[in-house]
Amino acid sequence: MDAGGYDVIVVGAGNAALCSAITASQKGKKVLVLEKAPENQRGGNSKFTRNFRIAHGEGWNGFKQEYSRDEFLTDIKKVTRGESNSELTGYVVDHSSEAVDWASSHGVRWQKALKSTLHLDRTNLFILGGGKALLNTYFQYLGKYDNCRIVYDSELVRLNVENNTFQSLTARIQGHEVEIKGDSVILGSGGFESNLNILREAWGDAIDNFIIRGTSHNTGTPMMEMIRHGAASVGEKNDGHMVGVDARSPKYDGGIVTRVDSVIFSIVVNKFARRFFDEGYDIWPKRYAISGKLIAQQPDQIAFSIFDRKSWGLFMPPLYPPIVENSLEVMADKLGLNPDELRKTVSEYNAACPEISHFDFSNPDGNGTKNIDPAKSNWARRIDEPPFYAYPLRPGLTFTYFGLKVDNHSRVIDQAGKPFNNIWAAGEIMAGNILNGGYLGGLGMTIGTLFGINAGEEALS
Amino acid sequence: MSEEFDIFSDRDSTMEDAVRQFTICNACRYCEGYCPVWPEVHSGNIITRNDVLYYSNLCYDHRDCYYACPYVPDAHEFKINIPEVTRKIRKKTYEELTFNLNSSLEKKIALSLILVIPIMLGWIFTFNNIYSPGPISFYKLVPKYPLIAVSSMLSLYLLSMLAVAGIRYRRLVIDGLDRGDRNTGVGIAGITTLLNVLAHKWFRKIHYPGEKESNVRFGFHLLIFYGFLMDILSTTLGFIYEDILAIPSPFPFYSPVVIAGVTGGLMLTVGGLLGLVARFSSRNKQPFMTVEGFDFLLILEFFVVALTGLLTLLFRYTAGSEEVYLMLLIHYSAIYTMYITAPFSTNVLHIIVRLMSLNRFNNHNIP
Repeated sequence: MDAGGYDVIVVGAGNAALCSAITASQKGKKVLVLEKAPENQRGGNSKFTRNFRIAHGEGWNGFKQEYSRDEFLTDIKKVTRGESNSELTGYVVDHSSEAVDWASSHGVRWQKALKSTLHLDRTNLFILGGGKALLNTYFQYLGKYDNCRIVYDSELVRLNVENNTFQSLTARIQGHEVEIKGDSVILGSGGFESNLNILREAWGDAIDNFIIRGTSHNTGTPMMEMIRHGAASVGEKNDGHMVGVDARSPKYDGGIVTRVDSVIFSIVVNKFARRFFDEGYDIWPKRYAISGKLIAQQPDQIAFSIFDRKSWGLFMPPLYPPIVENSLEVMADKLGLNPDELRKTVSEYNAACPEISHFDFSNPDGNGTKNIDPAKSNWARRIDEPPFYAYPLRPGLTFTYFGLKVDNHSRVIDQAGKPFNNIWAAGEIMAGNILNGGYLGGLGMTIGTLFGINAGEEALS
Repeated sequence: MSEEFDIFSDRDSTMEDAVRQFTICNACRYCEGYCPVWPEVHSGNIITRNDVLYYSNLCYDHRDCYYACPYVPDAHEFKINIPEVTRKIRKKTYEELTFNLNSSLEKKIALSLILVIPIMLGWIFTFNNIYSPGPISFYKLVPKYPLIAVSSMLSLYLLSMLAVAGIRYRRLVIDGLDRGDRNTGVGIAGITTLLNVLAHKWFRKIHYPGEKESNVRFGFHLLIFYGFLMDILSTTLGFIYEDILAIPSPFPFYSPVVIAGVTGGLMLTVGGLLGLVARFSSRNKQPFMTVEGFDFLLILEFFVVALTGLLTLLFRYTAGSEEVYLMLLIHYSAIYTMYITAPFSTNVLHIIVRLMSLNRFNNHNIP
């Protein structure tokens, strides 16, 4: 391993990191990319992404309708706490279409909005084949540059920083610790959603029952190293994008397919067979993003979505088959619930359901329960026709919002507000500066691309 | 799917695994823009065994989905490998469409030669007239009418086998699909299917023979496809010249019959050679199962037929009459071997299966 003389060291190999590496390599600089994962699992959480959110006019890249900058800004404000860096936010919105242009000019191709995501077809441009296809394209592109070296299986151990200046880093490469010097460093290493130790500080032992939907390689070491060196942070450690996922999913890396869409068609009960929230509060995309946190607050972080024959086949099925039984008693047994309690919960719910004349799953239909707490505001249909179906649910952590605070040039800043001289952050590690405590689909890729390119350019000047 | 056609026994886990894989795909949907398979997978919620038969036979083996997938066996416990599982299912489907000759390529070729050699020897002893005086005439080896009789019989055999395959495929797969339009007749969808085929719409830029996208398969398929059509044209023109315009063969080299034949022959030779090289260079390069002898039999035969045809023509101008007749004999043998083995070849069966699957797709997706 060459121990020194790199102009730019990029930590991570997801979308943002590769945008930085490509930008720096194109300028002829000596670039080193350190990827913690082995080659076949490279690319961090970017492999689970699928689109870019961009402001655009009618007709741009095939869009049938405009998505204005004002609307984009309003959408960001709706999901965040209002503590976002407004200059960075404005920059992303104003330049969002450049992220797509850059990706296109580096070989990324696009496709129409997916059949299940029509609510995004006005605002988001979809990557043909999804995030891994985009990563493959970038890796292939980067392969053309002899001045860029990618090292897999290389985990960052320490960042050596003096006087707000990066000196070198220590990495464990195939089991050996090496010190590598560089003129500047770009941290494109994602969040810490697969670091159970840090998550345990925020969630306690409940974290053992969480499903981590993303890569197992995002342990957040670069981020924590910067905090050790006095970097300022944004967001809270217990904040993250969390959805209800199939409890049978693998602990890590299950990705997009783990989500369960049956919630609005069902009642959701906890381990005591009691309902605990309004399953029919809103339509899918919004409901989906709330259920994870609610399940995380239930005992043992387990819940069951239960429905009957009438709703089978109405929603996109998850990756595993449902549990199917002809009686609720047997179902309760199978799920480890008290049969009497489940029978009681279903009877009470059924008694509160209205007579339904018109049923519409695409919009809140006003068929709400009466005199029951919690209510089910829409799509309240009796569960009385066997067979009965169930999906076990757990909270699924998609990614964390806590990250490094950056200035308007994406440079990491210390707690006094002073920037580190040669340390930049791009992607999920700094997305919290814009998406403070909330998430908007497709914005992560736009942020990662724009700040990845910026960091790559700034690191050279 | 009816009992009779449930070709996957409970002991065979291939179908079960394919349903599992496509169910995960349907929960992901990232590949939707790649090829016709994905919009079909995503058009419903529950994947059945019958659906999987259809998807597998609609699959062009582009492998885009493999390279875009975060869940491939090498990287993830979900072990998704659609190109491989669909290929296994295609193989199984094809075996159901004609006689189930579950044997190797070598056996099939050997078997056809056992049939072809007596025919050829019989001809030579019965009709052989090549030492009679006069210029070289192909009909001296085998006279016109016996030649037409045998060729017609073999053509009829091939066409009926294809028809049987088509009917079986319809009963086995298409009729069992319960979503959307089942109509497989002509119309806008039918015309679209034909245009898709002529333009080789789904052949561009695919991961073949290696991981890198290329137009290699587009190139050799196009050459073989249009080369074959050129040779059909040549034969048709030959018939018109001889039997309608009464111009006797052999035709001079500038005759449209020969020009079309030579062009077609060259296209088949180059396309076949390219195809064979690509097939062999793709072996072990890809993380996919190779089905030995399964998918290149006809390419090999096309290549041999075209090459011997061209050599026969070349010998007419450069060699003695014995060499010409010998080469012609080999050429005839190659053609008849090709006819006999054709219904057992993926390369032939896919014509009917692909056409029907693509037409079903167009019927389902064109308003």
